[in-house]
Amino acid sequence: MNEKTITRLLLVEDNPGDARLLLEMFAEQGSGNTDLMHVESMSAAEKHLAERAVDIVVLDLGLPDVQGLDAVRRARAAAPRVPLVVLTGLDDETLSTQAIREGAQDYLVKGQIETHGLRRALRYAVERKDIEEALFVEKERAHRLNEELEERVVERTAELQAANRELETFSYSVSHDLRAPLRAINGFAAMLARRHGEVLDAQGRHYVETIVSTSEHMGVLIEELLDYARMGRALVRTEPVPLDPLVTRLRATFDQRIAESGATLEVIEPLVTPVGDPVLLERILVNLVENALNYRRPEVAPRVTLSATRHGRRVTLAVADNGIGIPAESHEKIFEVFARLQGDDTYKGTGIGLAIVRKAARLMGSDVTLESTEGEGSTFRLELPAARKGSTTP
Amino acid sequence: MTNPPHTVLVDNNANDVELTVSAFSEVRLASHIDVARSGRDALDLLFGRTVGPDGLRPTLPDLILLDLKMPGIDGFEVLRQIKGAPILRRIPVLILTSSREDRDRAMAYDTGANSYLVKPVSFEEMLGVVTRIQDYWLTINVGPPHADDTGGEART
Repeated sequence: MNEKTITRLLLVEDNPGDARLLLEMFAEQGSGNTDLMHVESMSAAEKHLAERAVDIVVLDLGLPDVQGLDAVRRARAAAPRVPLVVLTGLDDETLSTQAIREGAQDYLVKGQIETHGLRRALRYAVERKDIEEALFVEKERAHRLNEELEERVVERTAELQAANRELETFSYSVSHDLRAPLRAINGFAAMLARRHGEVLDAQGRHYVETIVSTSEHMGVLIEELLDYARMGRALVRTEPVPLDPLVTRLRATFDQRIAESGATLEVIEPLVTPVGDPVLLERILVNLVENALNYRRPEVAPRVTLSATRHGRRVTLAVADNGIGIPAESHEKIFEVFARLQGDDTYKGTGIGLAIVRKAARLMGSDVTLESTEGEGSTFRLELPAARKGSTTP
Repeated sequence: MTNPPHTVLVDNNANDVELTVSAFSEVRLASHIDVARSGRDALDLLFGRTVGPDGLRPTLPDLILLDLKMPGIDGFEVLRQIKGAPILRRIPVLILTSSREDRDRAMAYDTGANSYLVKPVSFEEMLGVVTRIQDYWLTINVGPPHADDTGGEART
């Protein structure tokens, strides 16, 4: 414990009798080189404190120019870094406690002061003030560190935004510049078939058709890769997303596919409204339904079931199918970009659909889970917060 | 509308030009097509600064198909000038570009484009696009009366 010597003490007391008594006691327990100063009003004290440094202030709370807590406040204002001990009367327990709350380090009850207690009280007041000061310094440091951190965050955000913009330009020119030659490959192959098809034999026409179809496939790949890369560039929204209009659009999109494949798209009502990003959510559902219709068992009519059920404050969205299913060992891999389990000749796909689904889910703070048995079907699930009842309007 | 309809195609990509023109002929689009391979050429052609093969100033087209990304004077600048010229501003301009970017679409419509078409990779799809252009813009749609470049100009 660092024993600070109290060399300069300021007593603010207007009652001469009290003052003399206290000064005697201070002198008695002091080490002889204690500088005792005495003033009789707050304004005198303020003047003194403005001109001189002191180690401790002993303050009577009943002064001619200010009393009680106001006195404490003014003393604190005049010397915020100096330990303060207040003098209170016998019946002023409440006032004493309040004084401490206002920033005094201790209080002494007039008429109950004796030398040892006084010495201890003064010393403890100084100790306590030291601790307070140390805390104050720490707080300042923490505040500065916080500001530095904030600055760094702002810098990093700017860097990320710049990188994002770069990605934007890059993705844009990639898509533009890759698609032009693809158009040419596809277009001229098609024209070859149309205008010179008659000089080609069946094999020749097959070659040309393959050029046409694979270049189209590559076009789709580029589109989806671009989508994947750019997803999340726009601010991800968090709002109630009513699912009924979404489902209506889904049905419209897949109407023809559904009819052609003899499939059924079943919706389990009611569809609880989730909170998320409407664009991402729609993308997830479109991709999942697309997969469900695509990866069907040839001998079984595809049956796709869409649901959004409440579990406490969350909604579980699920797209279930009765298709070919996914073997357990591929349940993780299947969400990777370009991951394909099936060959191109059996099932057409880009291998990006589920990567997009997962990225979209994660952008909304969630994730996609898979439950699937090979040869029986798959269920993809996504959990989101449920919109509060009556808040279905975004 | 002139008979056959007169279309100006503006695109700097030689392959795209050839394919678009082929597509027009594949669907037997009855349209006379003039091609401008750059923004500069397009403006010269449209503002009558060049003469046709017959030595006469070409007539105003019924339709303009305009690519956006061209070096030098780009599609946006051509569009701006077309829509800023009383003689040309009424002519429907269909943007025909490979960009699906929001900012390009916004700028195109803000500058007065009448339609925005994205060039498909698939030639088959392109045939569909071209057929629909014929059906809509050159058949169903009633085009504007041409501004007279000697007298009654298009009202602002």
